Amino acid sequence: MKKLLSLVLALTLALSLSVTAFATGVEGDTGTDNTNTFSPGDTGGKDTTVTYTVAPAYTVTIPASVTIGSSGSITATVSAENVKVAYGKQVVVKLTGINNTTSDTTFTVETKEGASLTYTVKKDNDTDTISKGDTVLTVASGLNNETGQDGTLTGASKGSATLTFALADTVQYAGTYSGTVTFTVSVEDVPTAP
Amino acid sequence: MKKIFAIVLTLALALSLSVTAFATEENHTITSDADGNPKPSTATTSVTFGVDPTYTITIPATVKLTKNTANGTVTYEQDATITASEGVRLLNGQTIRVTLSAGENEKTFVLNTKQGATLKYTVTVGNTEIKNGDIVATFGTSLKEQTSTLHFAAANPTFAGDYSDNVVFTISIQ
Repeated sequence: MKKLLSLVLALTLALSLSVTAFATGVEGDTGTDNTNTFSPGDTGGKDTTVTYTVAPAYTVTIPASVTIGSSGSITATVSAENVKVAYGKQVVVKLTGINNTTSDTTFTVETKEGASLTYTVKKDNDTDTISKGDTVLTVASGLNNETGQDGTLTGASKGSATLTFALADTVQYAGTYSGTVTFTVSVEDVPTAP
Repeated sequence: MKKIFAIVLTLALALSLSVTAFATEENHTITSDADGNPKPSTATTSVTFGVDPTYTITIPATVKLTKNTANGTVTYEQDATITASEGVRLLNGQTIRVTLSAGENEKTFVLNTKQGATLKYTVTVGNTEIKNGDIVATFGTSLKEQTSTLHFAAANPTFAGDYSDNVVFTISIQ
């Protein structure tokens, strides 16, 4: 019985050691340690590949709601922070939907009684209004670098756009007017200069 | 010790509940997944605008009938105007209705003196004679002033005296 137990223990130990042996040389977060082997008679050099992988990261913040005040307008901010994307890429935020329909091209808010008002959306100090499908924010890596709490650069980028929602109609009917706009986030190529 | 523990637990529960109550969503946050794709890829912003109903209705406090001798017949008549000031703002589909009722416990329009004499009178809007409880004005949402003119008329009374009556205007939103 003791011999049998010893045998089992020995096998267990051997298997665990073999697992450890296979664990070396596997690519990990800290790099790889594949080796070049030189044998007697080898001439010349052998290359060592150095790699470092940075996962894409970003945080885009979209307002969940905006309420147009009695002045007839309100501003809201769309922002992207901690942006680290591949070279030549950028985070793009577009306004892609109005009132959850594919057909609407005019920004409208409506009451449950059927009254409606149109409004416009403008970006920052632009004089032109935003249309459905327009880009409202782009942030690429390497621009507008962020600093951490200790004041040092984090290497990430950030950016924001101030959108102004303003009524375009004279208000006639009372009521609670509501509508929606949908924003879509994507990572796209940075356009090359013409 | 158990009591202290219970109090701490109660406070913790109360605080956690209050945090939940304040946890209203103000922003959507979109982040990158491991492949760099946005997760989620879209977010919807609710756009709202609220307008309270607004209107001002003016009802005459007194209507004094004056003697009219036109056509060789003595009558006592007077116009009175109900006005909705400019800028009436209601919910879409709603209107303001003004109805006219005879005085308390009365079913017809009758003037009385303190000596007990009575005199019937009529109220008309346009060519329509108004009955007890009828609508005398309907106003809708408008940027302009709206009016309705009521014509009060009584025949020449048999007895002298100061005739008077109270009528009631009722305003409602329909």
